[in-house]
Amino acid sequence: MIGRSLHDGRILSPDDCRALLRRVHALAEGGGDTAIRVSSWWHGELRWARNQIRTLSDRRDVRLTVIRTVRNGRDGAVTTNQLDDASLEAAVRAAERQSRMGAKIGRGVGFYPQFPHYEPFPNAAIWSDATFEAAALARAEVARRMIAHAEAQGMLSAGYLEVRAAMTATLGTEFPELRTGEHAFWEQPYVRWTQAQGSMTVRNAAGTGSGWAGLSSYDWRRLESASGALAERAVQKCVASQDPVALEPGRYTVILEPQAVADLMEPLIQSFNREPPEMGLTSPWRLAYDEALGLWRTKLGMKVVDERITISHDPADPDQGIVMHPLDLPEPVTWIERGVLKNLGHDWATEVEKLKGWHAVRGADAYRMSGGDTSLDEMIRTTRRGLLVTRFSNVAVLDGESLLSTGLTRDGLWLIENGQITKAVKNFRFTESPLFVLNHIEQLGEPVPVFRPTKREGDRLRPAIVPPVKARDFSFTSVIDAI
Amino acid sequence: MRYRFVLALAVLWAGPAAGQTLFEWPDTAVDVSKYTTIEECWAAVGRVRRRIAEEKEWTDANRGMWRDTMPDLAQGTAVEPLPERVRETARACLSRFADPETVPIDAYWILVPLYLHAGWDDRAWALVERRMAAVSDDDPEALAAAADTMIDILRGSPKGGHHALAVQPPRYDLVDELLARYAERISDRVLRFRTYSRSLSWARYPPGDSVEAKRERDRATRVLALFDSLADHEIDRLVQQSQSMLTEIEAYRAQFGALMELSYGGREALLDSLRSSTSAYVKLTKQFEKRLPPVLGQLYAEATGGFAIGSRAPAIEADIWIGCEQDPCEPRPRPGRVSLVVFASPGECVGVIAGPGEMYLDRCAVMLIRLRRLKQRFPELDITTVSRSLGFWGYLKEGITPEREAELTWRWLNSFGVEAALAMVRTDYWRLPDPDARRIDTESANDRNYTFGKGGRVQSGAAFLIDEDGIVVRVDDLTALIEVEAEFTELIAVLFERKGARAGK
Repeated sequence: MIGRSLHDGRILSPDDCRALLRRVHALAEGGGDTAIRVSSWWHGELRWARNQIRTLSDRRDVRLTVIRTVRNGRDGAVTTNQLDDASLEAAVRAAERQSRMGAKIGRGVGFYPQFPHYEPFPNAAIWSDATFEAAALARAEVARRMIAHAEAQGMLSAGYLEVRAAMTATLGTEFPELRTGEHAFWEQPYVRWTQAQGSMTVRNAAGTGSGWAGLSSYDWRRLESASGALAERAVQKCVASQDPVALEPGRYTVILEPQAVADLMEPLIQSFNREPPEMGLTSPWRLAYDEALGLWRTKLGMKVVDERITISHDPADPDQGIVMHPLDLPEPVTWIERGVLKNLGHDWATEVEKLKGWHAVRGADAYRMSGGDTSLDEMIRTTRRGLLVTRFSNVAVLDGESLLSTGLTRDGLWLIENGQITKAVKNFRFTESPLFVLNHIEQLGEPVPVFRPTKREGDRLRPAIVPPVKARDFSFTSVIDAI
Repeated sequence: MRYRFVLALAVLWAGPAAGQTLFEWPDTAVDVSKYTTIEECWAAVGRVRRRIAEEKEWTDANRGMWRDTMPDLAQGTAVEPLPERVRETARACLSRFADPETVPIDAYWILVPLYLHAGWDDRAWALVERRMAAVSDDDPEALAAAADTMIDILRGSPKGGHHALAVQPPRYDLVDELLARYAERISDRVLRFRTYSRSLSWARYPPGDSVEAKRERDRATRVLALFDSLADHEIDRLVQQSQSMLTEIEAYRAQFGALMELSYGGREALLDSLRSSTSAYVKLTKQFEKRLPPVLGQLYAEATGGFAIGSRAPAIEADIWIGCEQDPCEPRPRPGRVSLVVFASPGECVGVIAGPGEMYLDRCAVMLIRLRRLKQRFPELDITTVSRSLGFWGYLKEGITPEREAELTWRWLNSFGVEAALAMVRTDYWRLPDPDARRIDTESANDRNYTFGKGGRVQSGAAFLIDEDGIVVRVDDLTALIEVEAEFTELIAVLFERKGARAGK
């Protein structure tokens, strides 16, 4: 399966990684501890503009950080991407010199009990051989087919297709007498993952219309099989969005396509952290200071959005695989359940010190938002006057407590009148809170995977599954001229 | 031309990888001819000072020196003269800025310390005078601010904590000169008091007959006289100003502790009173507290542990005792024994250990080292560590019971050489309703008893020195980075001396 392709050096295989770690450990001199973080990535990229492929590249890198702590020295860390013996030895020596430059007051030379042992989460759907084996020509062929859709309509398209693979592992020699397995509980055992992502923007020749479509998944086959539909959608949106009219800003009923919902929800999704509200820092989940108990109360347990909304994640869901650490809770997490705030992500220390369990609880790196059974067509048919939104861009939070945000509509905005789309509309700037939207829901559609790409090459997966939403009184605050 | 070609070939032939990764120490020799501005001189001096400090640390580490074995944690201002390399660098670099009458006056805060580094005291003083002359007497706040800044510079605590500008050793002779020349010009007496008080190194009140010690006492006497002359409304202003800065509370503690000792003949008088009896010592201590205005008195009492001094130490309550198999575990503190009761909970001290970096000791180490050394100095000292169950220990949570916590805590303390009995209280707690579920610990009987009516939790590190009659003599934080160990040592020595004398009668 992974066999030969993994051994072509694009990312380190488990055996390569283990051998590398052993080599670096053997280079340490002068006693003390050695910890090593190693990660490697491969990135196959294709970009096109004006219907022509402009970039087709394969890149890779490895990053090895060696942390040496000689006796009573501070941590000395050196990072390199050169794995020959001389370079590795130089890195280890440099880390040792750094370590000796400063003294620590002393390690706990005394008694400590053995480390607890946690198993890493198995079987997450995060690796696809098809993604790792998607060669440049195969990517180019898919791109060619997508471009052909636009060319056939006389449109100009730009877009990208990316396939990525990455691995990471950490291993140390600290406290060998306390270890109960190969890894201490804070170390990351070898893990690897893939990501495929692509998007396409289509413009008409006059530059008066724009359409977009995109998708991301760990599995290239999903992107490949959806490529035709994505191109068709982007072209259709472009055709339909030509020559928009200006509409007065104000509050409108909106139908947000899944991508628009995901873009708008991003600040909310990022806010599911327990520590800020409990420390009294700005957070939508901070309630008030409890004088009697001397602590900040949070909104945990309170109804915060419409009861049709549940936001959750199951690491075993094949559409929701993420990279997990052995300290992470290897079970589903629900942050909002039927509108009630049920959980907030927090680190391991918080769980151990204050709460009932012994695993860190993840924030919504990946999530699924519950939906309903209303189709997009039905939402439009039942709307007397409203706007259909393809997606948002440049979303920025204005107020961290209410999550009031601002951003722009992009790549297709249409007016709906009496159950029918009547005209394309110029883009708006909105000023609105995702919490407000989730409290003004009228209808929900079927959740679908959306475009939620990783940014840097070695970034971890963050899939999202989101429904279309029809909500009332969405606030648009100004017209913008950008197409 | 041909030579250049061969050279280029050689460079290319060397390849990028070797040159890229092989580590070599940079050339750190400072060529001051390239430093043309005042800021560059500052940077040059800083670089040389930092390099010398790093070399020393490296040498220490190579010798396997562990700070635990050193006399005490190095705190306070360095008093040794600067190394000659630093002085040379300052002199060479400042040759362009050697005239204090023509250098830019707004660079005084850099140049005064650099002049002193160079050994040019007369030029430094000339620049001080130039700076002070630039402030009008009609603006007491500006005058006080200028004097405060200058005092900080001369004391070796420059604004911003710039290590390169720290005057070493502190120039208290110039501080005195500055106060003599300019303090009376500050018409606002509260501001003047603050300027005077800035001149004292409160936490390091020096006994003995050295010139520095006498100088410090003279300054402190002047501060005391000025403080005594303040009207009530001026004291209220002083307190309001200080309470706006939380860190000042600790400063007050040290300040008035020193003042108290001065008021009654110094530290020796306090120790003498303790030699006589604990009640005399407590009486002397309380006298000063009563002399203070109510707000300051309260502040002082809270900061110094005055709430407990002179009270009878309550018996420690525990569900689990460890380490007292040879002696009866209860009651503690034991009658007839000089005792130290220390609230020491590793769970609170170390916290949850989430990685190897957190198994290095920092704050806890201070307490552990001090406890071990006190026991070594005074084998008869009866130390009881008081702990409470927390539901976790270090990185363990599954299967943790109060009994297991007690066992782990005692083994942990013991492994650092701390010989003490351990009293573990099973902590009652409840949880906020799900899904919040945070654990809310309730006060233990020991917390209630040892806050002496104040309520709340006794912080880990709080140490109560108790005489053989069971009376609290001193309360302090054994984790604090001030010289509590020396003070405890003095008091414990007196208590044993007194006990021996009683036994001899």
